Amino acid sequence: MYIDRIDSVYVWKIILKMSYPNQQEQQSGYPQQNQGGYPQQPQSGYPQQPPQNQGGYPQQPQSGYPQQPQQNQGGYPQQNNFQQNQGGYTQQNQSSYPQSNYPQQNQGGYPAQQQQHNPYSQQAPPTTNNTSSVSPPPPTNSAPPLNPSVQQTTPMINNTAVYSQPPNNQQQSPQPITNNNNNMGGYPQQPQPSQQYQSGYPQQTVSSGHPQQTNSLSPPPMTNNTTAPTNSTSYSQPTNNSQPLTNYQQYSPNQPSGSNMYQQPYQYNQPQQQPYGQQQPQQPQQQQQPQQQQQQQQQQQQPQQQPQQQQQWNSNPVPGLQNLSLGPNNQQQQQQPYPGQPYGQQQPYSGQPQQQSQPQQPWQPQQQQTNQQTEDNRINMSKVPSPTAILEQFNSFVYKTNSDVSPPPSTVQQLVIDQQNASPNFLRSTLYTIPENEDTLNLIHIPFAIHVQPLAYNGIAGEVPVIRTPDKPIQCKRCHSYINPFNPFTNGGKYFTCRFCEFENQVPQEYFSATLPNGQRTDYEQRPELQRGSYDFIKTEANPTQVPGYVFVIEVSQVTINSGIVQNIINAIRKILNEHYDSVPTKVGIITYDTEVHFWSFKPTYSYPQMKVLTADNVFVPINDGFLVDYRESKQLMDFFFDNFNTFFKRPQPSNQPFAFGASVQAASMSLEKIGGRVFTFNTTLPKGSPGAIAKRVERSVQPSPNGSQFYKMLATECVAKNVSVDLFVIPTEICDIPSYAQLATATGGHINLYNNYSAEVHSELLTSDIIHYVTMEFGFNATSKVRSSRGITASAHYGNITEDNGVIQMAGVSSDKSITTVLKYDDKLKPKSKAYIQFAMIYTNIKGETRIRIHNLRLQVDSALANFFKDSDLDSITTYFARVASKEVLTTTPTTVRSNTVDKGVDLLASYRKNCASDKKASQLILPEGIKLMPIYILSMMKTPSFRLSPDISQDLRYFYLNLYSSSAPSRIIPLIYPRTYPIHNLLPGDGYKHPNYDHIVLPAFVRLSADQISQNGIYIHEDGRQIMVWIQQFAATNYLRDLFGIESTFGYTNNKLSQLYHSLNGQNEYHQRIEAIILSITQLRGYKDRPVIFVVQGDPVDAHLRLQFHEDKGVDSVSYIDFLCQIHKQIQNKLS
Amino acid sequence: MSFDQSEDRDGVRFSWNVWPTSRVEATKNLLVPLGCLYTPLHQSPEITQVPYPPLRCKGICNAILNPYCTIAPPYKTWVCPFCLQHNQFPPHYAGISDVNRPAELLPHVTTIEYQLPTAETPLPIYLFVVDVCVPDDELQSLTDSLTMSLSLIPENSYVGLITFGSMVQLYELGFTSCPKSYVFRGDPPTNTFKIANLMQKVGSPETMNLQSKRFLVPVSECEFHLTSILEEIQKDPCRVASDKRPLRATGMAFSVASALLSTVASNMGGRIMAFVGGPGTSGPGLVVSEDLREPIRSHHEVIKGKTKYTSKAYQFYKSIGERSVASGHAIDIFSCSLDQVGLYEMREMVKLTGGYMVLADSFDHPMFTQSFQKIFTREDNAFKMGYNAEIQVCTSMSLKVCGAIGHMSSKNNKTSCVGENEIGIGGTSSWKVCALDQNSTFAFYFEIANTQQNAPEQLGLVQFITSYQNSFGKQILRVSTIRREWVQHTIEQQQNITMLANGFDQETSAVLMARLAVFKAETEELPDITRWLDKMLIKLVSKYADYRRDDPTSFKLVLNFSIYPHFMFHLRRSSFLQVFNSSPDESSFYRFMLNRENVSNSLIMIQPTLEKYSFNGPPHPEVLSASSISTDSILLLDTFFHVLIFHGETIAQWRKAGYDKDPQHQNFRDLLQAPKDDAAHILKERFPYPRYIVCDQHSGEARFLLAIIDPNITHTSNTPQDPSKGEIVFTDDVNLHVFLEHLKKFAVQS
Repeated sequence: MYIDRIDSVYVWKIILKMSYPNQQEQQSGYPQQNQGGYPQQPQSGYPQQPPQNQGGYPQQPQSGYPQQPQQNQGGYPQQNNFQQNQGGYTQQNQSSYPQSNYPQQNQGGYPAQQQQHNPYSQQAPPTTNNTSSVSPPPPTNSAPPLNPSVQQTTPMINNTAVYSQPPNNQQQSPQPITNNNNNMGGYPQQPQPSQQYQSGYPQQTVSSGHPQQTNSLSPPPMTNNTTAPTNSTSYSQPTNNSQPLTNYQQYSPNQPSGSNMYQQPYQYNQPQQQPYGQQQPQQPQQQQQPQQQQQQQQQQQQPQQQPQQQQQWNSNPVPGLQNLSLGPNNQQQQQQPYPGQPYGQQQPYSGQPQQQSQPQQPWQPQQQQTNQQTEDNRINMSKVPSPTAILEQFNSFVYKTNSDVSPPPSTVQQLVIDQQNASPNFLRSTLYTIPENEDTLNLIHIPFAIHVQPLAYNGIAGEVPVIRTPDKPIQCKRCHSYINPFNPFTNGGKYFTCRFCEFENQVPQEYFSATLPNGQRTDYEQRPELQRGSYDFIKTEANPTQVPGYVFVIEVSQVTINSGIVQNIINAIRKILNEHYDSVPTKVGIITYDTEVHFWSFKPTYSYPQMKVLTADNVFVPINDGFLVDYRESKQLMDFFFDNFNTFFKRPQPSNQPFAFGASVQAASMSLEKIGGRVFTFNTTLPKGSPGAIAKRVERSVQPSPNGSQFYKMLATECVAKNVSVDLFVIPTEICDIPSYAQLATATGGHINLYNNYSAEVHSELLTSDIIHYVTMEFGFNATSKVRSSRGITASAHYGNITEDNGVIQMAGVSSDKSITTVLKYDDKLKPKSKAYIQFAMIYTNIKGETRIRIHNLRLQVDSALANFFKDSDLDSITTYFARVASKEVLTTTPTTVRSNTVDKGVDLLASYRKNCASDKKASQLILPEGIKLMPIYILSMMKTPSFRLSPDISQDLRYFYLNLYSSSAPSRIIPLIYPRTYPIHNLLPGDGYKHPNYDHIVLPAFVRLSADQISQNGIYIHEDGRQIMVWIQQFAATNYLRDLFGIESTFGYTNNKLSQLYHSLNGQNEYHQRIEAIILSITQLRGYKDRPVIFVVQGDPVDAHLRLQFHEDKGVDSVSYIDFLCQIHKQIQNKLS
Repeated sequence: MSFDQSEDRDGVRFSWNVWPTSRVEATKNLLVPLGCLYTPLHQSPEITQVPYPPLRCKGICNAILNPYCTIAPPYKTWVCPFCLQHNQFPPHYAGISDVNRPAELLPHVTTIEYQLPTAETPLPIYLFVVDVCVPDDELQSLTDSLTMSLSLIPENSYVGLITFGSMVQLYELGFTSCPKSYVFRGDPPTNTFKIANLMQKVGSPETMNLQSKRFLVPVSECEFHLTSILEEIQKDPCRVASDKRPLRATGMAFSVASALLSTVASNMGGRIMAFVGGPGTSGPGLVVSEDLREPIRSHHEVIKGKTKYTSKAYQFYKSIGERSVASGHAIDIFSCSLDQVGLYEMREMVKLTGGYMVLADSFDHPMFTQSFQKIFTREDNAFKMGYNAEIQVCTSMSLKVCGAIGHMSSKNNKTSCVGENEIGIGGTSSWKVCALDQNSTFAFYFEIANTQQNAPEQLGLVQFITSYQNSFGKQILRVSTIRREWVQHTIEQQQNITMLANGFDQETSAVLMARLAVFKAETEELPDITRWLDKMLIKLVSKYADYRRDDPTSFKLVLNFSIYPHFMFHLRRSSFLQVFNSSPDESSFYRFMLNRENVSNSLIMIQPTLEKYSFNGPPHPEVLSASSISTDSILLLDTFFHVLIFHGETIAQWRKAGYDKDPQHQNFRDLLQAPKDDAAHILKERFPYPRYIVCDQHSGEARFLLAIIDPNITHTSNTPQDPSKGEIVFTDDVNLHVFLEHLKKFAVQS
C-alpha cells in the first residue's frame, strides 16, 4: 500500500521548519542524540555527524571516548536548562544550583566528560555572546507591536504570539541576553555558525517582531517554525550549505530549552525563516566535519563565558518565579515563557500550543536538491520531525490544568497540577479548542473524542481527593450531573447553575455556604469538588460482604511445571499476598487445572490445604466456604501450598491433553458469582478441553474461531453480569488462539498479557512483575459510567473494553490501566467564544467494598478560528483515537485495509490543515501543523507494530494482543508502544541519572530516533516500549561501562540471566551503576509501574532481533521508511488539494 | 431327625417337613406355603470343609455330588438324584469304595464347604459415604466411629471415602500430599447426567482399577492420611436458612459410590457404607424439598399416592441398587436422624444387595455406634461374612421352587427347577446376594410338581449351593442338600393330614407367612393382607384342629399348631403390618429386618418375649399381655428392636427410696440387676443394636410395652381393676382372647 520510494520520481527536499526546532532541541538539550548519529546534528555542526560520515567509529579515534565529548556538550546545555528551570520554579534553587552542582557532578563522575565539559562551556559563551548581542534586541523591539496585530489578523500569527514569550523576559531586557548566552552555551555547535548565527538572527528578529520573542529572546532561535510563508520561501531557496547550518546553529544556541524552542517558531513566522529551509536541505555531511573542528575550538572559548551566563541566569529566573508562584490564574504566566520554560510549567505550555498551530513545517520537495538527497538520505532524516526532539521539550513540564491549552504529551516526565480541569492523566481530549458546529469539525478532520482513564495512576500528583458526604453527593436535579468547580453559585449561594443542562438548582440546606462577592463560596477551600477536576465521592462505606474476590487460575502441565512458569506464578502470588496485602482484597482463591479443575481450599480451620477436583464437563463451585480466604487468616495453609506446590503435581500432563481452560474459568467466575471480582488465568495451550474446546485452525484470523468461541462469548456475558473481570496471561507453547476467548478479557474490562517466545531465563522476572502489577493495580468493580456534556455536544460512541448500554458504559471491572474513549458529536451549535464542559462520572466499588463515584471534569474552549483547532489539539489523543478505530476495524477487515484507512485519516487531517491554514504555501511544501507534526511517524510506526504488520510470522495471538492494547490502553501507554524509546546510556550527560535539581524526578538521557543508524556499535541502550525495559548492549560496548554495570569486560558468552545476576550483584557499588539504576527506575515509574524487571539483551540474542523490528523509522519488510512515508503522505495531500 | 437338628446342621428349616405327594394334595392341605428358611452362613461344628472343588452333575440340574447320590459298586459313576443323570467320576475319585468315600458322600455331610482354588480376590472393600450435613457434635462422633473402624478393618482391606452435603466429594486417598477430592455437584443438570459416565471423567481410565490405589487404598497404606482427612471433615458449610433443610445430595452420593465401585472393583466383594443424617433434598433421589414448610411424606400420603418425589426417588435408588448388584457390592445405610431420611425410598438398594440397614436417632447414639462397631468386631470372633454371593437352588423333579423372599436379587436363571407359581422373587433358581452374614436368612418357597397320586419315586431333595467370597478373599462354595420325606400315600385322607401335621413347624411357618405378608405389603393394601392372613389361619386351623363342627368349645389344636394363632395375632398387630405409630422409614426398617433374620430372631420380632423378675420366684417368661404387668415385678421386654426394662410401680418406688443402695436389701439390688444383666446379654448379641430403655410403670417410655402387649385388660374390660393383676391398656384393639374366640368360631363353622 505504501508507495515505495517516491524519490525516484520526485526528489523531495524535506525542509521542515518544524524539524528545525527539533533539531535545535536535540542539539541544545541533548547532544547525545546527535552523537547517536543523528543526521540533523551534522548539519548543525555537531561533532556527531563526523562519526556517521566516517561510517566506522570516527569518534573513538579522536577522543578515545568519542561519545563522551558529545555528552559533555550535551550536558552543558542541560545545565543551562536546569538553571533556567530553577529560575522558573523556585528562586532558591536557582541561585545555588547552576554553578555548584552540575559541574561538580560531571567532573566527579567521568573525567572524560570533565575535559570535554570545559571546552564546551568555553565554547558556549562566545556563541552566546555573539548571538545575544545581535539577536536579542530585535525581538524585543519587534515583538510588542507585532504580536497583537498578528494575533488578530491571522490565526497563525496569533498562535505564535501567544506562544513564545513570557512577559518576564520582556521586562528584563538585559536578561534576555543572558538567556541567549545560556542557550548559546548549551550548543557548542554554534561556534562555527556564529557568523551565520548572527546573520540568521536578524532574520528571526525580523520575523519575530512579536513581543514574545523579545521576552524570551533566548527562545527565538529555538522556535522550530518560522511562519509558514517565510519558511516556504526560504526553503525554496536552498542555496548555501553554510547558511542552513548557521541558521540552525543560531536557533539552537538561542533556545534555552525545549519549550523555548517552541515559542520561537512563532517568531519565525516571518520570512526570515527562509534561511532555515535553505540551511537544512543544504547541509551536507562534508560540511559538518569542518564544523566539528570549529566547534572544538569554540568550546575552548566557551568555558570562560559560562560563568557569566550562569550568573545571569540566576538573576533572571527569579522574577519569573515570582510571577509563577503568584498566579495560579495569571495570564502573565501563560504568556511568560520561561527561559527555563520546561519548569516554567504553564508558561511554556501555553506558549507551545500556539506554536503548534503555526507549524508550518515545510516539507519542501525541491527537485533541485534531488541530487543531494539521493546521495544522502540521512540528511533528510535529520529534518524530519523527530519524536526524540519534540518530546524532549516537554520534559519536566509543569502543567496547570486550568490553562485552557492542550496538555503536554502524555509520555514525558511532568507535573500536573489539578485546577478545575481533570489532569490529562485521567482525561485527555483530542481537541481543547472546539468548533462551534459540526460542519467545522468535519472540515478540520480532527476527531473529537476524549480518552478517560478513570483510575489512572496519577504519579507524583498524588491520589484524587476523597469526599465523604453524609448524604448523597450534590447532583443537578435535571441531568444528574455531579457538583463540579464549573457550576457558578448565584443568589448569595442559594442556587447553582448546572453547566451541562443550565438548570438552576437550589442548594440543599446542608450544603449551603454563603458566597463572596466574586461568587466564590466561603467554604471553597474545604471542598475539593469545587476546586479540582478529579475527585471521588464515597457513596456507601466499606461493606465486608461486598468485598470482591480474586481468583488465580493456573495451568499445571509438563510445560508449566518443568519450565518453572508455575513456580513463577506462585512466587508472584506469594509476594503479592505478603508484600502487597493491602492492594488485594481479603478474598483470594486459587484454582489449578490440567484436564481437570482443581479448587484449593485454604479454610483456616483445616490443617492442610484441600484440593477439590472437578471433573471435566461438570462445572460448578465445589467449595461452599473456604475457597476465597483472607491470606492472613489462612497464611499457614497457603504457605504450605506455595512451599509444596511441586509435590501436588508430581506427574503433570503433557500439553497435548485437553486442558480444561474453559471449565476452570467458568468455575472461577461462578465462585465470584455473588461478590464479583477478578479472575487471573495462566495458560500455555490452546483450550482443548470441553467445555470451551477450541478447534485448531489454520488461518490466522483475529476473529473468534467459529469452532468453540461461542462458549466464551456466553461466559463473557455471564462474567459481565456477575461483575467478574478476567485477566488472561498467555504464555504460548503453541498457537493459543487468543482471539477466540479474548472476549473474556475485552468484555469484562480485563487485560490480556502475552509472552511470546517465553524463555524462563529472560521472561520469568517480567512475568512475575506483570502479575504483581496487574493484580495489585487499583481496580474498580461493577463500574457504571456516563459522560455528560454541555448542551450542543453529546457522547455518541464509546471504545474500550466495555459494554455499552444506552449511553451508559458498563464495565465488570476497570483497572488503573484501562482507558475508555468517548466520541463526541454535535447536536446543536455552540455559542461562539463560550466554553464547553464535559463530566465523566463513574460509580464503582473498590477492593474494600466501598462504593465510590469518580468524577473527572473538563472545560474546553469554543472558537471559530480553524488554526486554533490544530493548535489546541492533542496528538497523543488523536493517535490513540486512530489506534482505537483501527484496532476495531481490523477485526472485521484486513490489516491492509486498516492501514490505508488510517493513513487516509491522517492525510485528511493534514490536508485540511494545509488547505485551511497554510494555503498560502507552495504546493511543493509539506507543511505539518506544529502540535501534530509527529503524526506521520506515529501512524507509520503504529502500522509497523504487530497488530497491523503484514508479515506472515505474526500469530493471531500476537496480533490480537497488540490490538487489545490499542483498544483499551491509555494514550500514555499507546504512544511508547507505537514509538518505543531507546535511551543511550553510554554517553550520559552530567545530570542524567541524578535527581533533578528542582523537581522530584530523575533526569533521563535523551532518547534516540528509532533508526538503526542511530545505534552505535559501542553503545549501551535502555530500550522500553511501555511494557518492557531492556538494557541493550551492543557488540563493542565500552569496557568501562560493562565493568561498572556487570563487573565484566565483555558480554561475550553471557546470557540475560547471568547478566541480570551480575547487574544486581553490583547493586549501587559505583556511581554509574547507581545512575543507570535510577534511570531505569524512573522510566519504570514514568510508565506507571511500581517495579519492572530489566531484560539484558546482547547481540545475537533472539530478543535482539525482535528489538530491531521496532526501528520504525527504517524501511521494514512490508513497509516504507519514514522519509518515504512522508513523501507518500505529501503526495496524497497534494492530490487532495488539487 | 427333628427340625432343630436340621437347622443346626444345615441352617435350613422347612415349614412342612413331610411333603404331600401331589400338587392336588398340596393345594388342598398346605395352607401354609411349603417353604424353608435357609441361612447360608449358618455356623455349625458339623460342617465339613474340603479344599477342593466340587463335582457337578453334567445334566441340566448342575447339582453337586452329595450323600444322596447313588453310587453303584464299580464306583466309576454316580447318579444325580435330581435329574437322574449318570456321571463319571474323574480319575482322582478312583479310590472310592463303600468304606472309603470322599467327604461329600458321607451320609451325615449334608452340608459341606468347598474352598475353590481360584485366584484370591482382594479383601473386601469398604467405601464410606458420609453425610456432612449433620450437627457438629454428631459429625464428630461419626468421624470418631469411622476412625475407630479403621483399626478394626483388616489391614489389607481397601477403603474409600465419599462425603456429601450439597455436593459430593470423592476423596483420592492415594494422593497423600494433601487431602484431595473429586467433587460432583449435587444437582447435576438432568440432561447431561448419567450415572454410567460418572467415573469416565475422573482421570484416565487406566488408573481406574484397584491396583492404582487412587480412590480405594488398603487401610495399612492410608490409615494415617484417612484419619487426618476424617479429622478435617467439617460440617457442610453451605449456609442453611432457618426455614430450609440443608441441601443433601444423597442420591448423587450413592451414584458416585456405586459408579466408583463398579468401575474400579467390579465383582470383587465390597460394601458401600452410607451414613445418612437426613433426607435427600437435592438432585436425583431427593425425597423432600429443601423447604421446611413441606413435611416429608407420611404413610398416609404414600397410601393415597400423593407423594411428590417418592416414586421417582424409589426408581432412582432402585436403579443404583441394581447396578451395585450387577457388580456385586452391598449397600449399607446407617440412618441416624430423629426425622426420616428417606429409607422408604432407599430401601430397595439395601434389599437388593443384602446390605445392612440401621436406624438410629443420631450418630452419637449407641444404636449407631454400637451397631457400627459390631459389624467389624464380629469378624474378630470368626464371624463369617460372605461377599458377592450367589445362591442356587436345585430340586428334585417333583418339587419346584417358586421363589424366594429375602435380601437378594434374581439372577433370572430359569431352569427346570423353577415352578409355575411365583412367590416372592421368582422365576429363577439362582439369586445374587452381595453380602451375607451369619444371620442372613432367606425364605424359599416351593411347590409340589408331581401330578401323580402316588408318591414320587425320587427322593424329596433340595440342594442349596452358595458360592461367596469370604472375609479373607477366599472363594467358598457351600452346599447343603436337604432331604424330606414324602407323605406315605394312604387312602385315608385323615391319615395324610395327620402325617402332614406331624411335620408342621409352626415357628418357621409363622415366619414364612410373615415374610410373605410383608412381601405382599409392598404392593397390596394392609387390610387386605390382614384379611388374607386371617383367612389362611382359619383355613389352616379348621383343617388341622380337632373339633366338633359348629361347636367352638370343642376346638382344640395339637401342640405343634398351638401357638401359631398367637403368632398370627401378634403379626397382625405388629409394626410390619400396622403403620400406625411408625413412619414409612421405620416401617421399611422393620420389614427389612424381618426379611433378613433367622427364625428365632424373626419370631422375637413377631411376638416379643417378656421375662418377669420378682421376689416370687426365679425369672420366668410371661405371656405378652396386660395381665402380666404387676406393680411388684420387673419386666424385660425384647422386641428385637427394643430392649425394655419395666419397673413395676412398687419397684420403682422402692428404687426411688434408695433401697437398692441399702446393704440390707441386697436382694432388691439383685432383683434390679438381674434384668439388666440379661438385657446386656441380649444387647451384646443383637445386631443392629436395639434401643435400650429402662422405664417405670406409668412413665412415658412404658408406652413401648403397652403398645405391644395383648390388651386383655382395657378400659372396657369388665374385669376388676386390680393393680396387681395387670394394667389397663387404653385401646380399642381386639385382644388375644377375643381373637381366638372368633378364630374358633370361624374355624368350626361348617
